Amino acid sequence: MSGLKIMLVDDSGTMRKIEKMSLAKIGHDQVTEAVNGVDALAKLKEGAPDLFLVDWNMPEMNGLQFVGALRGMAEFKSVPIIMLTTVNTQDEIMAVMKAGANDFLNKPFTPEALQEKIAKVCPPK
Amino acid sequence: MNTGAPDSIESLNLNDLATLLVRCDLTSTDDSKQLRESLNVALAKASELPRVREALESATHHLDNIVSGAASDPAAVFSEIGRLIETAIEESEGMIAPAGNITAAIPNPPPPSAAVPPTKPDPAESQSPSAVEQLPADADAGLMGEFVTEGYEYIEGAEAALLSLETNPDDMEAVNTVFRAFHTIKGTSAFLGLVAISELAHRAESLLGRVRDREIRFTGGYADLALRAVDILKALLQAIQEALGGEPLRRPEGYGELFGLLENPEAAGISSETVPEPITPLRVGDILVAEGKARRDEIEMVAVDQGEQPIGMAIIKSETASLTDVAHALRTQQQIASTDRAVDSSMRVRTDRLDRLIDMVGELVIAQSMVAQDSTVITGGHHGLAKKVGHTGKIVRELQDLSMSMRMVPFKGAFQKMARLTRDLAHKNGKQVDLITEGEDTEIDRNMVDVLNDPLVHMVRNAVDHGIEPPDSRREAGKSPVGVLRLAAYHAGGNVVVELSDDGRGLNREKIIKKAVATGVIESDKGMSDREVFNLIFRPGFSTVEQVTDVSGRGVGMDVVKRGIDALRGRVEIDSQPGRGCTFTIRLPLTMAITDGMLVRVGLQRFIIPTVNIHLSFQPVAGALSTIAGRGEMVMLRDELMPVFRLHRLFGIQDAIEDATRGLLVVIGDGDRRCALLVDELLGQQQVVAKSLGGGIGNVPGVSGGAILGDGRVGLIIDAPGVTALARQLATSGAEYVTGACSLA
Repeated sequence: MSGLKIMLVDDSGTMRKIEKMSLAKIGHDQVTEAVNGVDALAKLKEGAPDLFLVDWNMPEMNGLQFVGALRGMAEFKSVPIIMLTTVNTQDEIMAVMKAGANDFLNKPFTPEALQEKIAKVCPPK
Repeated sequence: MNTGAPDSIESLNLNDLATLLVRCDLTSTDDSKQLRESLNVALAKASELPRVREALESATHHLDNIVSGAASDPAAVFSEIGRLIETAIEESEGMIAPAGNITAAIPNPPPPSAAVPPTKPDPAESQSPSAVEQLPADADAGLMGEFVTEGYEYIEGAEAALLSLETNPDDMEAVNTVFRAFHTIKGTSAFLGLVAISELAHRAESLLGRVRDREIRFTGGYADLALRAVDILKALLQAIQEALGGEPLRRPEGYGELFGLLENPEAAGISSETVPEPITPLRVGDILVAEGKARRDEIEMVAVDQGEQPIGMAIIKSETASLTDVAHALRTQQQIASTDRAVDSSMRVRTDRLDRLIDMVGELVIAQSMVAQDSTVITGGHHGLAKKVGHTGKIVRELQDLSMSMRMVPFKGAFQKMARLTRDLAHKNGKQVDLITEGEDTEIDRNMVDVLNDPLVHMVRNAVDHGIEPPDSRREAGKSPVGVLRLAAYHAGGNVVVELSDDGRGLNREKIIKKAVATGVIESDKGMSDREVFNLIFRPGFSTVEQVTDVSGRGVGMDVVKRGIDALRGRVEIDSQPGRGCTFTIRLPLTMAITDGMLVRVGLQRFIIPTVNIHLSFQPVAGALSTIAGRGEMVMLRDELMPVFRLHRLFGIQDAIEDATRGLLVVIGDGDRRCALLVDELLGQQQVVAKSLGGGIGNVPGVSGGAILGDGRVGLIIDAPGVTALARQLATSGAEYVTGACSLA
């Protein structure tokens, strides 16, 4: 077991697999998976991760709503969040930032790009 | 195939830079340092783009000034940096777009892996990528297989949603399902380097995005495009599956065409109106067979095994016909069904002729009742004649109903205008409002719809502008950020009722009272019920909004609403709960052509009081009556004190009942304007055709018109709001009741 404790929230199983593979490549293999915001909130009872990777477009509770909910909870207020999505316009970037995410990464991304972003929001202690 | 050059903006990290800037804390040296570093990186990358470089250099300079403390107003300089970065973004977009080869000049190409596809198709290639390509060299077969399986699942969900959209194009939940399917397929396939599928999914997603944002409706040509996209995506998934087995990866037939159409549907003449020609058979299967899309024996096989699911779904699953074909068939079926229902042909008739016909029929009704009430018929002992007259009466009433129905129209049109208005207003105000309409099929006299339009517009504006709060305030109040406006119409007690309710902040009693006292409308709110207070907003010139918005307002208050509804001989009531919302209830007569009235007698005169204005009538006990100094005669009814107006004094009629306890009090008016009219007796309910009094007599206060009664004599129709206003005016001016205000034999 190495790397950060990461919660990965994405409704697509294939996507989660790809993302997990990317994370493994850059040395993170403690990944909890959730299929949407509701599922993720339920799984959070097992403890706070070091980082959230969250897709935007998901059924039931989308990424923005989930991030908003996290930021409203004292326990997860300061856990870094990266949104993995496809944002193109300034409006969308603003929406992501306003919801409370620390950063975003456009799909598709390389493991290196992901590593860079993670390093940015989770500075080594 | 271009596997290299990425989107230039992305490689310049300018968007990241902008993001960094948004989050940057001015006082933190760490943040400034990070920003400075990012600027340096961008500068190095922008070496080939002079204008971008220029803007970035300037931004760097400004940043240095802030860090060194040389800037006198850091906040202003900071926003200047933001502007410069934006300029850099615009410049880089402008530089790259027309000349694709500049991208090559930008250093820092991504790792040469086919797994990273270009975000834009290479301009050197044709509109659609070439017909045959290879699976990416480093493709992970397991992952690909998983993607295909999952892709099918999303497609299946999208198919079900698309079919339900065929019958209900405004089902936003279904639109979201389809959108998400396209979106997810796009994202995953991009990772896997499946350019063809991710590009198509991207364009299909954009189309659905426009539907979701209500820019276009999911009907006609747009629906066709989405259906075709699903079909092609399905074929693409199948092609990938085959390619995993070693076959070349082929683009399905029609890919290129669809790809082009999706880029700019409007340019190809696609709109929400384009619909295929309908044909005759009725079952979905029959339609498919008739169109040559499926074989009859196949359809029958499917029908046998269909089980619980709808036949359309079963046909798609069994691959007897494609989704596009089934959806078309469903649409055709609907068209036929709807034309079947309204199969009767129609013709246009001029409205003035129709109006005249209805007037004439009204006259006929009255003439007939005159015959029926003639003493020869009633008491003459001519049984045969009475029977014939009775029969004629039945026909005449049917004729009346029929002619009235010709001029009745559903509320649908009026409601749709409000839906549009709500959307526009909400958008302008930065609010989110859902309009729910109920009872769109409720019918009302055509002539009234037009008059009703103005009050409705005003009420909707009022509700969206002032009633429903901005999303933030709503959230704070624990409500959904999306406000709900409900517009409903229904028939009740011979009237048409229109209700408009919102779930906004409700009316503010204190504010209304303050304003009313300030403008001298009332002296104090002592003893006023909520409803009485709320009704004050209908007073001319009354508006509690200090700031007049450009959307509603204009300073005029809700008196426009009141006037419009009075003109229709209707009445309006308000219910409001603070923080919970406000409901306006409008009651209108079914038609203006015929007035449902209560015939009352005052002395030897008879008057008609429109039923819609009457709350109740009662015979008062002596103790309930009192005379209050300065306010005249009052009566107490169920703890409510209201003025009593004596019709005989108002109209100067002799020999009427003076003692109120022997007569009847009829309660009319709304809210604080409620009053009781003293009459001798009620003679019964009667429908009358309202006539104007004619130019010779002109406008008589308190009287809205006249009507010919069953015995051939004229009865005056009481104008309820007018008569109360008149009585109040006389009472407060202290003048004696005018005698002979109106006398008609």
